[in-house]
Amino acid sequence: MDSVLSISGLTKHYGSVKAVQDLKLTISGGQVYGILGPNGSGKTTTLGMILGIIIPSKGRFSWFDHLPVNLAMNKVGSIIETPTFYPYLSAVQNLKIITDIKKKGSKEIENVITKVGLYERRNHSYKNYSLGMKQRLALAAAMIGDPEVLVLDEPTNGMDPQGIADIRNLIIEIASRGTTIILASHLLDEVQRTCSHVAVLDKGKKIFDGTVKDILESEEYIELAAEDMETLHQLLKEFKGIAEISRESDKFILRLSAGPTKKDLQKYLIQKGIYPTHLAVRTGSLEKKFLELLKKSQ
Amino acid sequence: MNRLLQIEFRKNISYPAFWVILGLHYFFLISFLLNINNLSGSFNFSSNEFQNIDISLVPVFKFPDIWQNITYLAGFFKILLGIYMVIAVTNEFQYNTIRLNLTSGLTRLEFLFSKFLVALIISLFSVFILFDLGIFVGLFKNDAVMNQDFFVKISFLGAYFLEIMFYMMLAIFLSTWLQKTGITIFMLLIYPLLIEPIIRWQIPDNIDQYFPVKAMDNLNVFPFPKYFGFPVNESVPLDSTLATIGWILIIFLLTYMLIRRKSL
Repeated sequence: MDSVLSISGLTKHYGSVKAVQDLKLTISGGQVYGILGPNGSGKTTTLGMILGIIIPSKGRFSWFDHLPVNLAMNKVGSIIETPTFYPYLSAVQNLKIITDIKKKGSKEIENVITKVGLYERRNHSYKNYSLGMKQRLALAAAMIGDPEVLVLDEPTNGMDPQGIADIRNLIIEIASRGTTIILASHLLDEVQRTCSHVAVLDKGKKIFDGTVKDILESEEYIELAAEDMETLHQLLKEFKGIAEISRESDKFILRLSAGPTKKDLQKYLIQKGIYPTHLAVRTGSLEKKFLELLKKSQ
Repeated sequence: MNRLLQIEFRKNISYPAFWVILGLHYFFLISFLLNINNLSGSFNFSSNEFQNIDISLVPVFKFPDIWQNITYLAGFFKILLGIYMVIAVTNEFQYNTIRLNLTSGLTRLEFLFSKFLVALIISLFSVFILFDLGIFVGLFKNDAVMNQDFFVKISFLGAYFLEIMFYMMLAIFLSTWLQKTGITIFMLLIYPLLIEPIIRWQIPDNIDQYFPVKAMDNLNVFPFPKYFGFPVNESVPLDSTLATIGWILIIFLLTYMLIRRKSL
């Protein structure tokens, strides 16, 4: 896959505060890349830098193999922090300014406005919009010109549950067309459901990156119970390939290490004459991994 | 350039303050000039020894001085143009819409240039208004046909253009620097009246005439003493013209340097 964005050594200081430190990331075409981190971890600053509105203190980033930022922005749609539009203009008038800047026809305005569910209010003045509607307009603006990349900073901020679901579905739909998406969020559930890759920032530093699939698999737990819990415990102790085991009232909770599979474990128990009365797989959550990572980095 | 004009057209045309402030500017300007000879009593023009001139005795619309006279008077109203530029530019920072412009693909230079174009269009329009006013009122009040005299001092329209263009560029620079509407308007008002005069205080005349506001003021100095027997400039001074053009370019460059490395 072609590199869409490569970042190296990116650093931003605000006085003595190090908002982003020596960040390195590579994002390829078609990825849905989540950037996670607690409040103040440098997500928005990072996005501000790659969008050309915040000047980095040090380091480099390059869009589409060294395309100048303003030209890259023609292929990138973005939402950053709170939506910003001309308050005295309507949704349509605001979007016309964007189509002018991007040198696109204004024909698609109606299309994107319908997609985000603002069609009824399209000619109302922006200043009378609710936060959720402003956020929807921001997404519409980001979609102008059918961009190759969408950069979304907390896109569901201030939205009601229906809005959150709408936006999430829209993001998934856009991603399925092959659009690269860079999504910063502290809503882990949102990232888990939409992203393929994830990087975790804390205090301006990257503390993890990898695929969501790997994280979830490494966080998979098995619940196991049998009539004879003592024998089961003994056998589990002897089984090579258990990374972690604990007892939770009437069942064991265990996590397998890299080698053996769930099938291997079952086969082993049956061979030893133990038939589990309860066997369930608890899929991991990004939240758990995230909290674990943050704890480690403290 | 068409693209930038189109963008600014969209931003301004639906903005109520655009119509209100510019409307007031032209309304005050035109009604003041049309009624100037009906005004009686003395006017306190802040030009030292020639204070307290009875304006009703001044033949403002006499050929060929008309252009010098009306552009001199029109210069007082430029404050409203400056205030509009401040509002238009500080709004971009206050509403953070400059981000929207940049993340949509405008460069910082294009952004600044688009504001320059707004100042240019307003200046050209103001010159056009004064030109029409001059022709209309001049023919009417002089009870004469158009003759060669009519255009002798037309270059003062150019001086007026430079004066308001400079003033609006100063407004753009201060707005980009200070970003807040109130403080920027305050600075725009006190810089020419207080700050620059204080800086010039101890500086000899042959140097201080090149200071930005001084150069702008010298384009067209108080012309009415002529009618009371005192000598005045009969044409736009070349050095003030060049200095003002120079300052417009320098302010543009300074503003660009300010915005080029600014995190927004």
